[in-house]
This record gives sequence, C-alpha cells and structure tokens, in this order.
Amino acid sequence: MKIPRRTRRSRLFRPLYLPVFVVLLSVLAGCGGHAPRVQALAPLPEQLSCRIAVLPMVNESDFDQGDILFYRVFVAELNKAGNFIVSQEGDVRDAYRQLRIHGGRNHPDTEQIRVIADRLNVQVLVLGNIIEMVEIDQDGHKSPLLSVRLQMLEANTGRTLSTTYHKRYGEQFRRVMHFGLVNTMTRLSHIVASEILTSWQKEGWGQCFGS
Amino acid sequence: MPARFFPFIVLWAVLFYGSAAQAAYRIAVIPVEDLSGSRNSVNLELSHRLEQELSTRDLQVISSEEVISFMARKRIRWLGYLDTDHIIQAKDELGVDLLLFGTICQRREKISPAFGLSLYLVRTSDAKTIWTASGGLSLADVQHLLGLFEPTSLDDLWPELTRQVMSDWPADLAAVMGQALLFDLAGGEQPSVLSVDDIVLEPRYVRPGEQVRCSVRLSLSAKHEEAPQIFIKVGSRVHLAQESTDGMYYEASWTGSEVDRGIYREVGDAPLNLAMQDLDVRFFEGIWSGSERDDRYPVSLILNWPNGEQQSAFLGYYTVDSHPPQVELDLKGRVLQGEISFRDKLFVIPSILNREPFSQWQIRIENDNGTLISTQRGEGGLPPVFVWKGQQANGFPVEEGKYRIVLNVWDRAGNEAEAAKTVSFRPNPPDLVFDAELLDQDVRVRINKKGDIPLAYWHLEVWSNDGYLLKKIEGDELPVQMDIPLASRTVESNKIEGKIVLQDILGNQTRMEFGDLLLLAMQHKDSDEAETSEAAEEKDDSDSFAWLSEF
Repeated sequence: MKIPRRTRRSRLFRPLYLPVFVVLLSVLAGCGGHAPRVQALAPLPEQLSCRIAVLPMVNESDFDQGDILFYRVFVAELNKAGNFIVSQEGDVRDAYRQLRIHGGRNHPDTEQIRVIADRLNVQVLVLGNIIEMVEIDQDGHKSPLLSVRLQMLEANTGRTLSTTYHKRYGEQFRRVMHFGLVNTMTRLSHIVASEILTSWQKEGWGQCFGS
Repeated sequence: MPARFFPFIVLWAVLFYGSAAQAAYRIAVIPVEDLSGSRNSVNLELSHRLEQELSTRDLQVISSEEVISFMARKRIRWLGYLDTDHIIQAKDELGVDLLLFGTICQRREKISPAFGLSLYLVRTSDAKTIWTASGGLSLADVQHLLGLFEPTSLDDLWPELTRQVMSDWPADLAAVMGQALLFDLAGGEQPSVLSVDDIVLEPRYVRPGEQVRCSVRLSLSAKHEEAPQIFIKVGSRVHLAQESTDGMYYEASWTGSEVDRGIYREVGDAPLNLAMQDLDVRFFEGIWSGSERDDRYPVSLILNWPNGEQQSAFLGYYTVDSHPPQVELDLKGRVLQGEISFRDKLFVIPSILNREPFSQWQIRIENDNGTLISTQRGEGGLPPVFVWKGQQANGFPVEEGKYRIVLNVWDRAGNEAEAAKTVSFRPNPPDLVFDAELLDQDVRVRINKKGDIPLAYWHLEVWSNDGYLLKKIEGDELPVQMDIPLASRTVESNKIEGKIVLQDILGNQTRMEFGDLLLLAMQHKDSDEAETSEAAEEKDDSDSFAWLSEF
C-alpha cells in the first residue's frame, strides 16, 4: 500500500521536531544586540606601546566595594588578553596617595592624569565608573546586574580616545530553564570585562591582543 | 642491571628532576583581601587554603608568618596589591620568585550562597603580572544529576571554585618565568616606574620673586656610591636637589620666576646640560627671552644614575601670578543726595570682573572715623551676597550716619584686591510737626516734617467720636494745611479722633493718633495766648529792667 506523501514526510521528521526546537531556542536565547557600545573620539596613538594603566573605578552604585571588585576582575582580564603591559595596582595607588586623590569617589583632573601617566610610564589610561551594580532577589536566588562606563585617555595629552558603555544582567544568559544563568557578580563582571576587551580589539587595539 | 629497566630509570629521572626544577620556584601568598567584609579586611583562612593548593603544584611556599613579618617591617597596611618597589624588596628579603595576590570578591552565605575569587601571579624579578584568573560560583551553579553530591555550603564550594579558577594555571611555569623581563635589575637597569614615596611642591601659586620649594622622598635601595644625582627641573632651569637635614628628603627651592634664565648649572667638574636634552620648542624660547612673566611652569624630577641611565618623572605645575583680582561692590538701596541709603537692611553684592578662585576674603564696615564696626572673613569663594542690618558685631544697632563697606579678596598667589563704597544708615522715622488751630466753624490742621529725606506719602484720617468719618486725605508733599469743618454731629459728640501717618522713601514711618483734636486746638490757642502774655511781660520786665539799670 502506498503511503500518502504528507504522512510519509511527517513520519520522517517528527522525531526531529523537539531537538530542533530546543537548539533553536537556545540559539535565540543567546542572541540580541548586547555588545558594548564603544564610541571612538580620537585616533589611537600612532606607535602603540601597549603600556596601559587602569585607574581605580568610581563607584556610583550602592554595592559595597563594587569598584574594587570590578577593577580586579577587569585588570585580570586585561592582563590575560595578550601583550598589554599593565601597571601594578600598587603603583597606581601610590600616585593617588601622593596626589591626595580618593579612589572610588573622584577621578583625577587633567594635570593629575599627566602626573600619573608620566610616573607610571604608560601611554594610555583607563578610567571607569560603576553605574549600576546590584543583586536582585529573584525566586530564591540572586540575579546580578552590572553596568559600567569606561574611558580611555591618551596619557600625555589627557584627551579621550574612546568611551565604552556596557550593561549586562544574569538573566540574559538563561538558555533553558535555569541553565546558563549567571548567579554571581564576579562571574558577570568577568563576562562584561571580556566583552569590552573583545570590542576594543576590533577598535584598533589588535596588536596588543594575542597570545 | 637488566636493560628492560632502563626506560623506567629514564622516566623516573625525568620526573624527579623535572619536579625538582618546578619546585625551585619560591612563592609567597600575600594575605587575601576579603571584599565581603569591611574595607581592607583579611581572610587568613582562605590564604592558608591557597598556600595548600599551591604546595600541591610543586612550589615552595614560604610561611605566612614570614610574609606578615615582611609586611609589618615595610609598614604595608593594605591588601590585594603591592607597588613595584615592594615587590622587588620581597624578592630580596623573602627570596621569593613569585607573589600571589588573592581577592575574595564575593562571599555570601545566605540566600544562594556564593563565592567570587580573583588571583594575580606576579614575577618579582621585574614586577610583571604573568598570570591572572577570576571566577564566581554559587550553589545554584553546581547541580548534579539527581542532586547527588551537590555542595550545600560555602566550604563545599571552595574546592570547586579553586579548581575552576586555577584550571588554566601555567602548565610550564618555567617557560613563563623565562620570558623577557621588563627591566633587568641585575644588569643595572632601573624599574620603569620611579619609586616616589612623597612629594611636596609648594606653594602652587606664587607672585614673582617668591620662593617655591620642592621636596621629594624617594625609595632608593641603591648603595651610597651607586646613588644617583637628583635634579629638579623647573621650566627650562635645573636645580640640584640637596639631601634634607633628616636625610629623608631631597629638596630644592627656587624663586618663582627670575629674569635671568641660565642654560647651564655647573655641577662638579662637568657642566650639566640636562636641560638641553629637552626638545620642547617653548623651552628654547624661554631661554633667550629673559623676561619675567606670569606663566605655568612644569616641575620634573630627574635621576642621573652613575651608569649613564636617566630617569625622569613629572611632578606637577606651579603658577606665577602677578595680577590681582578685579572685584567691585554693588549696594542695593535708595540713592539720596548721591549716596546709597538704607534703613534696616543693606544688600552688598560683590562682582568679580575676572573670574578666578580666591584663597580668602574679608568684608568690614567702618564708621566715618575709620573705627571698625563689624567684620566677616572666609576662605575660598565669595558668598553671592552680604546683608548688613545696621548692627555692630555684638548685635547692637549703630547710630545713624555714614559708613564705609570695604571688601578685600586674595587670590591663590596672595595678590590682594580691595573694593569700597560709602553708605548712609538712616533708621530714624520722619520727625512729624503737627499743629491744630480752632476757628469759628473749623479746625485748621497743619502738617509738616523735619529732616531731608523725601516723603513717600502722608495720610490723615479724622473721625467723630461716634464713628463718622470727617476727613480722609493723603498726599506726598509737605507742608500742608487743611480745615476740618465742625459739623453738627461733631458739636454734639464734642470729640474728634484721628491718626496721621508719615512714611519716607526709605520706609521709616511715623504714626500719631490723637484722641481729641478740639482739645489739641484749644491747647494750642492757650499756649499762643500764654506766649503772647509772656512776651508782653518780658517786654514790661525789659522796660523795668531798663528803668532799673538807669536807676
């Protein structure tokens, strides 16, 4: 007996519906324009030495010591990224102490930036603001939310080379049920830092990235 | 020995010497900073766990007591980081090749317990960070099939987190340690970061001819014969820094700006031409102009090492300012005879013509004799307005008269500016002259005032005793005279009440109420008659006096 064409095809593909649906759902769940917003304001220095210093972040959120948390994670990722020569946090803090700058509350002014950059012998400085950092209670667990703004400054002139804004929250990484959720601020900071560095790599810092 | 054992011997030798080579690296774990506690709080328990973890990786871990003793000797009161100088000192004094810095980014025990960790591995020979890792883990992240062997507390999470974070620990640490150094101390190179402990550059704003002093405390571990020459470069001039009497600082001082800008400063046998190595075009212009000018001068530190290496660090700017600020006073009040006058409140508004920050200001009030009545001082910016209520410093009111308001301001270099204005304090109400005269059917009223302050208005109301309004009149000019008719009602009630109000243009007001105008008028008539008889008596007396004198 000849099986009707529609029946034959539906029999053939029925077992595949569920796996395809699951795969499609997981792919779509990871999609959706969450890349950092990078605004380039000036060209990078012609001869990039990859010597960079990250200045203490200013914490605009209520997350206690959130500036230090994101700073340590970001600098860890920056060191891992490739060929950057990152100034020691201790040297940066020494300069802040001598210039009477309270890290975590204020950024240095133009003259102080020049002093710090000259002292650390770096070409580029990174300043950052923690705009939002909060862990939201959700269904018995904590869902972190983080938004940061970073500025890249040319050391000897103090002019802004670029600004980067990025915002992420743990729920964005949910794939199916609870899988993929990011439940800790440290992990979320790690992701945000990695994504920012990936976007910088595309903006002309390529030679400082690599193995 | 049978040949079949030979491969095993070779394998054993490779493993033994390989691990021995690995174990040649000494590492110190700086006490872990715990961000879940208060600022700069330490977590020694997790520091010990990290030490145990590292010792399983064939590293020689020095004891935490040695590390804490080192930190105490060097007065290191912070956790999570060290500067280049202290890292190099750790290499020399602790004999370590590596330092591990750890930060507990998160440690939450209630509502979804979670841990966050960040690690930095630093090579002490050149203070370079050679490995980093960070990670976070919560109980919700670790879920096993059927819930078997899942962690239930933070203690259970720690091994899993450590395993994740250290999963990319350098497999070949020797290769990483052998990478090119940032600077070769053993070869005589200096760190790229100048170790400056403290800088004092003051004052930052000076007038021409004033001294500027710069003191720098360096962290130099070089021996005396290897010590560098230290210079302070100011604009285009170079000053040799001298060691302070307590031996802790290197100091130099100079005049804010000088007419003579020398190129060279001879030091020892050879002329010092450090300044000529600067390719700043402005520097060359500055050499030859020789003119004193207000400007912003950069100050840099230069170290000349015996091996010819030179290090420099920018310290900051100072500014020479010879121009005093420009300030004016604006007084809000009525102008009387060309002078600002007021009766109870005077608003003094300072106006800054060339905006610049002030270091301090002073406003004082003096009377005509120059005696100080009141003064007020402050630092920083001027208030937008001052209010004087005609009082002395003790709160008592001052007398009517002229006063001088003087404002002095000083900019950051100490240049002083003064603005002054005279003001007239007129708190007294107008002096009313009121007169009433009884006529046949009317009462004639005359109103006048004494004093030179123009009148804003006067107002007269006259009422009969039973509430009948006889007259209501006002004006702004004096003297004035008017007749108030004695109506039949008045005659019946036999009483006229009223009030008169005078107000000058400053707001001073005189108010007089009278209960019986007729009585006032009759008193005036009686006093006129008495004056007449007194005048007549005086005339008689004078005649008799004349008679007496003749007699």
